[in-house]
Amino acid sequence: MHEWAVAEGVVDTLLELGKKERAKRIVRVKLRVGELRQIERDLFEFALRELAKGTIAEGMGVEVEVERSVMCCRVCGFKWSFDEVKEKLGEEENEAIHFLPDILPVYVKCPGCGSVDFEVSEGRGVVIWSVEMEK
Amino acid sequence: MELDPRRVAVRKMLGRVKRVVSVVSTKGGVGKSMISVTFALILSRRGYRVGLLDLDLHNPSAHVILGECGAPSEDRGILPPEVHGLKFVSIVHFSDGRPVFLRGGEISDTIVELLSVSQWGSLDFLIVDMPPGSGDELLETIKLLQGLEVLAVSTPSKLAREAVEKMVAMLEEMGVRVVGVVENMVPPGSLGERDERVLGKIRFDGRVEEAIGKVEELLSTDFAMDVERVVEAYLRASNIRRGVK
Repeated sequence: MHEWAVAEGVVDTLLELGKKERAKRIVRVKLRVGELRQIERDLFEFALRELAKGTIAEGMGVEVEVERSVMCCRVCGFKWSFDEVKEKLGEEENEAIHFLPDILPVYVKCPGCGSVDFEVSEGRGVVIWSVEMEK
Repeated sequence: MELDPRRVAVRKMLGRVKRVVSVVSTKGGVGKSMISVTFALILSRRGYRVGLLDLDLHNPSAHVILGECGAPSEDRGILPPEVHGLKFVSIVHFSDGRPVFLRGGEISDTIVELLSVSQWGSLDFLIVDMPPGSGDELLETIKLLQGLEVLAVSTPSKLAREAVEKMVAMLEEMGVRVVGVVENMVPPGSLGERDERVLGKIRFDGRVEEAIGKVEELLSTDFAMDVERVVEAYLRASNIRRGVK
């Protein structure tokens, strides 16, 4: 459950940006969150709103888009997504991936050839891709 | 626009850490992990608040030296477990001891993730056990950790000395504070040779292997006695007075 830690990073980044841009208010933020993070969306959005209270971001609109993951095997070229393998993982393994998405090859192999040498090309990070400010 | 909120989170998570000391070397097998762990334990026994971060993602071994790794708990990120008085974070907390396969970009990303969720709290020192070489782990930590200090480990071997000297020169060019070179596995006869670049020399001690996983035994070795001198030299060189935090 690191939704609060991620939300804290987002709010602090917004406040830094607002200060740099001399904004009076952060009106809206749009975020892209990788599927591998398995973030509880309601909790994440709640944390964002709570952490923004008393700042220029209080009351901001929040749009969270969950980016579907795409893994691509560097050996055989097979592509797949996390939801195809998630069911086979235990609770602790999912928890580890929730905190460190890049650790996926420790627990998952390419369904095509069994290699652990694959790239997570989409669906891993957290990105702030749009911020609307009132100056 | 694409902003990565984790980088700001790293700064905040480390906001109450006074000093970060990375233990580095160009070569493997020179004793970085043994020195990192012992250095951290000695500082902790002196009453400092100390964290230990094992960033050797492919071959973590600090938990083997400590004899246990503890289990992190969760509260707005992860709370590092206390292991022998040290707040300890390692990839083994997430990999369950299985082999870890990561390429360059994934290494950098894992370091950012680890540092952006680890709640170190107030620390006097965070000791970072680095993998050998001047690759992604070292460059990423230099980029992420403002004011990082480096302790370089060598052996009396010409191969190690020459490579470490080049590494130290490169780090200094990058503006990184190198607190000194530690020469490890020194044959007892050559301890007296003075070298201004060397912060301390550590004798080769056959008992160390036996003491792996047994902290009290480790701290009673000649090796630990020599690391203690290195700790004292580091504190003196950094103008840190005993008891002042």
